[in-house]
Amino acid sequence: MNNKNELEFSTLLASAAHDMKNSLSMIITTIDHISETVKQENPTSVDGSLNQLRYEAKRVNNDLMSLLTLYKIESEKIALHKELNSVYDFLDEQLLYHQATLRYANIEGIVECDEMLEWVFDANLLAGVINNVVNNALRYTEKTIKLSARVRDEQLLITIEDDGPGYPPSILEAQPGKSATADFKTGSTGLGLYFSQAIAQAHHNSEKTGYITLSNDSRLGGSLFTICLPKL
Amino acid sequence: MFNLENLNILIIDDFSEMRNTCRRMLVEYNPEAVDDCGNGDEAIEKMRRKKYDIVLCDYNMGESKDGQQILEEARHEGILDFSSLFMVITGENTRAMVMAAVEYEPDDYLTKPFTKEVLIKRLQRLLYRKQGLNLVGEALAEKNYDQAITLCDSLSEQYPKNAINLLKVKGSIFHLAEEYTKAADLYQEVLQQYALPWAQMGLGKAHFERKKYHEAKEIFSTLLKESPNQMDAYDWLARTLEALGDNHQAQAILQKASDLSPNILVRRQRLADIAISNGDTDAAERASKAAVKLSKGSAFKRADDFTNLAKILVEQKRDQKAMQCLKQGRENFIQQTDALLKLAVSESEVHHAVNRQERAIESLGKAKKLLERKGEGDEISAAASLGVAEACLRHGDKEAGTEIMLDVIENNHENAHFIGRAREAFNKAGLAKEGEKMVQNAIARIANINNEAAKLANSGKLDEAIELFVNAARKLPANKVVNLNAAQALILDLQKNGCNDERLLQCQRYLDNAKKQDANDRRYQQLAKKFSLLEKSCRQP
Repeated sequence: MNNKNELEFSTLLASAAHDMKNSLSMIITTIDHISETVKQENPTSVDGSLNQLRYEAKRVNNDLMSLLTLYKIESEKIALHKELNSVYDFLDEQLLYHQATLRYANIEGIVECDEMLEWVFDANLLAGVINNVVNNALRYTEKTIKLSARVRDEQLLITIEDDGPGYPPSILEAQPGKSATADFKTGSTGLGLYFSQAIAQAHHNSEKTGYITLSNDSRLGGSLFTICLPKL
Repeated sequence: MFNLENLNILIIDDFSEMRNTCRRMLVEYNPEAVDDCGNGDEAIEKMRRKKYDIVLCDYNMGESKDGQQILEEARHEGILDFSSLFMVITGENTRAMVMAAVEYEPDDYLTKPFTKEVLIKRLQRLLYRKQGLNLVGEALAEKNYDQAITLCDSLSEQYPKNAINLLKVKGSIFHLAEEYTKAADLYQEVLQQYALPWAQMGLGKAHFERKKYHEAKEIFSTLLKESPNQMDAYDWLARTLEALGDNHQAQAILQKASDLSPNILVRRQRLADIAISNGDTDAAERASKAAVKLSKGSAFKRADDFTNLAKILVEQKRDQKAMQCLKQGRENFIQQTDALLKLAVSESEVHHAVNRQERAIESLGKAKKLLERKGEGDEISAAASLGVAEACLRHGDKEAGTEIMLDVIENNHENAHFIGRAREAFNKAGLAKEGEKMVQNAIARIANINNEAAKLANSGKLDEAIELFVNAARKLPANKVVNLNAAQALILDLQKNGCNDERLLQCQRYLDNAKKQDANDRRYQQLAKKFSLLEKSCRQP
């Protein structure tokens, strides 16, 4: 395939992914609506299958969104939309997206952040990152998911941690900086991490570039995801 | 407990299911009313009839106008309050697809799918941000900029979490008040803390207004290197390049912006104009074609795009295409006399160009008939009248041509472009000498009145000056300079001799006359500001 064909094919893929995303949007909204109705009719019912459905639909949605964003970054169709954001409001909203699942699975979502903290970043792109990680944490955590943020050395650190079993060694090995040879792009979690790293790196100033780290050093006992954004 | 009491909400989406979903999410918070509709035209109609506090608008509306276009038209028409909230809902995962528009930005974007909790939280935060801004909006409507600034300052003490947003509002008020140095200082202060694109834009515009074109160029160029989808930066960079005399580079920048974001009519129009003035017929043709296509149903459409394209087409001997384009134009401007007049003149020009003189005269007849409606109060621009005069002279109707031409010149005696066209038209009709004399006389007549009256005013004979100006303005309702002079003399009189209802009314009329000619005229704006202060102090006991 020559370059032109490659570009056309990836454009085709992107538009197909876009189409699928629209359908998924409808599916997720419908699931929310059904589970709402079920709950009203029978408040004590446990809609486990609906919840599973919602989780999987969101996972596919996240993957598609990651693919689309990466495509746009590669084909230079994207540039950061820099805005000053209230970090607390931003994190709070990310948890709200998962309100239904949290409530159903009886998981506590916590935001730990100075209410006055403000930072410049692309909220839309970063929301994609947080959404991916939170959706993943929801699957493995026992009781708690915590989103926190603080500033250190003129950089914003956002962490997402849980009290689940933590990341498997294969993923910890694959993270950037740890191993230069590990293929970050393969595997189901790989796409999410590759995406997160690309978004972190898109946030850079003349000296510093954003990055992500993964570890099992959470005070809650499970996984600890950190994204670090320099001052723009 | 958060609620939406007393708030009127409008939902715009082409899918009725989506409208119902949104409605369900909102009703339990007890809004005053939730209205909805499925297309852009209906939305504009609804906003004309009712003031909405919150508008939720889907971006992609299929065949209808998109969310951005609806926002632009609503703001352009002034049917959305300063404190109203306009939220665009997108199916895209990133707002990069939804490129920033020429001038107007929505308050927020929300990405589908969203939950009720997220929608409500967003509304809660946006309403917090808008708190108190209705008073700022009222002060702005009265052009009371000092008051608006004071209000912003006290709001920012009251709501410290909203400080940066209020600085953004304050910057735009400084721009409205033409306090560009204060605006620049404010933006520079923000930029020392955060490299925010809106602050860079504001600073660049402030430089531009203070004629610091090189600094402005530097800022817009740097901004575009970092944020190539900051669309308004292209427009301002192009304006700056034009001011620096680099029209070819300005054209290239507008071309680039139009390629990136193809659906902005106003930008296509600017591109067409600059391509024509650069003599780049190919680019002018492409831009005019795009503009004609985008005109359908747009509040920003203009007949010139149709006539420009027709002219280019007929020069390529494609007269049938040209006629088709003008017909399309007529369908776009039903009952709009000025536009129809321009189209009729253009039609006459097309016939003339391919030597169908009889039909050319026939079309000119239509144009003359339309011009007669001026007597019935229809607005007709000088440019349109000038076109009729040119066509009359071209076809040997010396009497009508001269009469219309002199009326145009008397009403625009300082407009070099119009005077040049008048000379050329007389020249081509073999009336060079005669025409020149008439043009000179017309210019001198008006200049004399102005000089005479100014002399009277300076020597303290204000009453006589006013009489002279007022007589002139009555005869020349479309002469911007004469009307502004009349208004200025009346303002002087009001300042000196105190309030007088009749003179206030008179003054308002001449200002309105001038505004019709050019609402952006510097002198008009200055006088209007003085007048509104005077009027206000007169109304207070």
